[in-house]
Amino acid sequence: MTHSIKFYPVGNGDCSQIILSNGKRLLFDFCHRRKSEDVEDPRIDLHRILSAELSAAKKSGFDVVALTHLDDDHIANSTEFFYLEHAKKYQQGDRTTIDELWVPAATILEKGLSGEAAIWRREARHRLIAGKGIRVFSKPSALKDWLESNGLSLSSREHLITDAGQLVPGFTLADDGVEFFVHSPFAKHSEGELVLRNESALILHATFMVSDTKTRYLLVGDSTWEILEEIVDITSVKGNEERLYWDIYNVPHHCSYLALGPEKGKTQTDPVENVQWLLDQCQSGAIAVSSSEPIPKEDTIDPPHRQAAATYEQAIQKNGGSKFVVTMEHPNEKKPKVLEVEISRWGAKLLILSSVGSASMTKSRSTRAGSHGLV
Amino acid sequence: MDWFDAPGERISADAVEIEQTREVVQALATYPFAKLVEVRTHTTEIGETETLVIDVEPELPQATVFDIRSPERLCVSYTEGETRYPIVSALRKDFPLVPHLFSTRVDEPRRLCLYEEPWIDVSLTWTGAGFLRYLVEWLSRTAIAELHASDQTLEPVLFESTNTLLFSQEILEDSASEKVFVTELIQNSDGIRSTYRLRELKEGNNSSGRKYYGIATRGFSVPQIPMKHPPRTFKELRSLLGRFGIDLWQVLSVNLYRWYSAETKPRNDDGIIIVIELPRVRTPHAEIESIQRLAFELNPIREIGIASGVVGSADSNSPLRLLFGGGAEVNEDLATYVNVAQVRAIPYLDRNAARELNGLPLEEDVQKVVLVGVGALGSQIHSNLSRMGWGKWTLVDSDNLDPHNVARHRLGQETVGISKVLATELIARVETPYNPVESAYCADAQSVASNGAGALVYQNADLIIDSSTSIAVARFLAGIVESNARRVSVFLNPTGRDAVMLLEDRCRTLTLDALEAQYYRAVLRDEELVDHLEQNPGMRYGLGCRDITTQLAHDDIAVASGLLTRQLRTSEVNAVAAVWQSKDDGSVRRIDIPVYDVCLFERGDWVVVVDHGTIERAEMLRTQHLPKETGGVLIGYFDMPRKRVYVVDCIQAPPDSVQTCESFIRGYAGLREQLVNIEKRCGGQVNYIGEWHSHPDGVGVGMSLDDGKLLGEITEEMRLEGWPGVLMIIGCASRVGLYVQVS
Repeated sequence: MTHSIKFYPVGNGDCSQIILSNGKRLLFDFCHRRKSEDVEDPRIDLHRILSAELSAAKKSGFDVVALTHLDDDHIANSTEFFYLEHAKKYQQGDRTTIDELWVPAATILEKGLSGEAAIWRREARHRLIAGKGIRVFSKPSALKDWLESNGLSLSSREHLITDAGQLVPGFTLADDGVEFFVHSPFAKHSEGELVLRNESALILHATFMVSDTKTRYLLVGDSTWEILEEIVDITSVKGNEERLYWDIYNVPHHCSYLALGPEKGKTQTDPVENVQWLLDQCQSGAIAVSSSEPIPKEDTIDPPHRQAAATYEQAIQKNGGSKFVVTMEHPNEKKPKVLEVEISRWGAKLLILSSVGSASMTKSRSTRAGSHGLV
Repeated sequence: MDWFDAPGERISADAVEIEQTREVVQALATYPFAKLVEVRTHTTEIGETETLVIDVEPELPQATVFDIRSPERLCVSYTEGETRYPIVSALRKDFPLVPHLFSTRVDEPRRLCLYEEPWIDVSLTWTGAGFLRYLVEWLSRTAIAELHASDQTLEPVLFESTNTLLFSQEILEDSASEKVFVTELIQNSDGIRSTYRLRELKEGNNSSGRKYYGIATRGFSVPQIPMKHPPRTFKELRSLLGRFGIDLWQVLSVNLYRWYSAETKPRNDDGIIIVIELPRVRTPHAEIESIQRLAFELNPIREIGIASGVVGSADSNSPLRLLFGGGAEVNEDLATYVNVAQVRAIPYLDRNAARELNGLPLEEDVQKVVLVGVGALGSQIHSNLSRMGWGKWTLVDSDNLDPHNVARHRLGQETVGISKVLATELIARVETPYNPVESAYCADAQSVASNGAGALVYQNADLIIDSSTSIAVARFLAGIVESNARRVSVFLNPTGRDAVMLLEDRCRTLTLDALEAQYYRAVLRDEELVDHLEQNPGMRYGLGCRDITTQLAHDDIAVASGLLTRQLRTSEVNAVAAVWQSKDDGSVRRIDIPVYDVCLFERGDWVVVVDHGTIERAEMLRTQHLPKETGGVLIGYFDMPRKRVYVVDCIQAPPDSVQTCESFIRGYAGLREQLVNIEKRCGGQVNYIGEWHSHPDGVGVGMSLDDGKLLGEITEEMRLEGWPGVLMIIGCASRVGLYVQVS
């Protein structure tokens, strides 16, 4: 019995999928860039590969799609891919269904949205009003107000809302071999007029259990060091430190130094004390995955930051972890492949044998062939 | 990290010359999970050796069974012109002892055993990149102990040695007995490997050369553990055996005492071979999966005897004598001078192993088989089945092996002139001692039955195989021999191309003699068998009238014996009557002979054997002609000694017959020709035996006056042949009247 986690090489963006041994599939974020449809582009054609994987698994959609927040690199071109309940327009053609949509409360409440973010807000609101196919994380008072303004009471939708510090209903170690603990958002981040999107993003901690082996996966999304600092404090106060142990760490924000500390640093970023503590929860043989472009040799303004990468690598080495891997570098920069981590009774294992050679050929498109361009 | 040094001088990666090395270097340029550390070169006896030091990054989960790391530094050496595998070693000094390593010294890097297939096969698809990938895979799977497939047998406890000991399981079973086992040495032609054969020491075979005394003992069950290097000193051996719960000194002392008590005492430079049986389990407390055998040779026996305190001598020149009264204490220091070497221990085949190798179920209740007729076919069937561990055999045949027999017999020239059964017994004892001939009767089937012990052999048998090629023997075995054994006849047709088996059902409701009659009917009715019994001109090998044999090819007999062997060992409870026709193109067709229940009609001294195959046909003809009567002749044969009439078939009315509602007069148009043809087709065995006719409904099958007259006429005619008259009447509802009259 094994579970797996796939990280898709979508450049500086996020998309990962948990595939449970019972067949359930949970997709976290979605970033499809038009240019990736060109076979010369190193990024994966996400639209195509997800469709292919689902059809191979004989599924028409995902059990769960979680949108950690509404930044473009987490939802890019997703409204063309998914079947949305709220409007006929998003139901045309071959679209992928979502049994349950997971969003932070900010997705319902955020104002002044446009483009795809606004479409997802409409979808989330539609599902919440309908009272099915959605899970909302955190319960700010503004949510209660919004519900009331739509003629609904908070208590009538309480079962669709999960707060930080709780386990997500619907997944248990006994039935699914996994449970999800919610670290963020906290209600306070979604109060008031101005919703700080990154601060109110979804952060989950998954605990997998195969035989007697626990494997823990921290899905940090686009967090900042301030948020992480706060999470470490609260989790310690509650005595839930184990919920921060990690065998797999989804490095936040495409390896930005801002997820470690306020100063980028020269050769490496000094993490603030709490973040250092969090990095030290790296378990023996653990893997840190940066969903980003390759780590640059030079100093750069935009992530990924080489200084941050150095900090993660050092933490891995210091704590007996296994590897810091970058989606756009695996197994090489020229043609990155889906980065797959297998979770078995032996813990987490980065699959490399199937990432190269003929075994990998059948998992991706071939490059272009044909007479195009000939006279 | 502490690493062994790779051999040779450093050179640049561009300077490699050996094709395989170059391929690997090229592959390393792009393969993401292995990095080239350095390249070295040095000269060996065979030629220039190039060595690549590479860091390989396996696929490791968080938890592993063996401490494989990422990266793991390996050293890959190719020697110019070498047609074997590259040598791959792990350079990390604390690389763990994992399954699939070659034997190396403690001060050498551990050497990986990469492929199961020979290099000549692997080289067909070998590429540098594939090789790197395979290294990754080897390390990845070794880390979680998956390299050793779960269906692969457990790895041996020790690396194998080049010397081999062949021994009989008897030594383990009889360890408490007084038998003494010694070895004879067979030196292989390469002068390196030696083979010892352990056998019982008997008077007269005490050769003058050095011999090894054999002992065998069993140890505790041992789970899957990494292989160890064989012990080289007595102390190491004692400690290894101690781990399996064997007290080496105790085992040795008991046996030394025995050997030195015997009349012929061990010579000082003799040695000891100890065989250890270890039950193997995959994990502790699991079921025993296999037995592994280890053997060690120890010499000289004198030093061991003295160290054990069992024997002693006044000085080094005096003969050893037993030290009574418990002897002296064990003095292990004296055992320092004992040579210890591991020997590959292979038991001789036993019946169970032979059965297993042949895919037969393990020894249940092995059938007691009597084989009557050890000719070309019989001897080969016996050879096939006994070699497989099938059956416990008694052989019956009165013939000696003649020179011409050798052309097609399993026996050879060396036994010409000897009784076939005694020669077979002799050969089987040497060739397949796990299935010797239990008893051999150089006599014909009939006289064996009249001999007290022989009669018992038939009575106690489970199966009697008749391969005598004699109809008389088959009929005798079917009826006269008192026994519940199932009977089977096997024979070839005259050309040798068709093999025939007539096998009784297990309850013996269809006996061999009845099957014979049904076989003839099939030959008559089945167009596929039209030439089956066509005669083959004989071939004289001597001047006597009976000095005649047939021209048959040995391969035909081999094919037939194979087919019949398979049918014999796979038959279930039902009767089998079948012909296997083999063609020139090598194809074989099986023709199943329909078998029918048999009715026996006792009429005075005579018994008429008629089966439903004949009755059904008569009924069919009767029904066709109703309301008129019909009839015809009966064909079959008489067994005079047993006073039996076998009805093979009924022939329909010739066209000139007169058929009315109350009478039938058989005509004779074409009948003679028909009967000649029948006789020929059945090899002269089947002929006219009487008449049959039908009665209409409501009349019964009793004889009318006319019928009585007819039977009288038949009887008169048959008297001239010495046979009785037979009349069969078929009535409604399958009623059969059978009448036999002797004049």
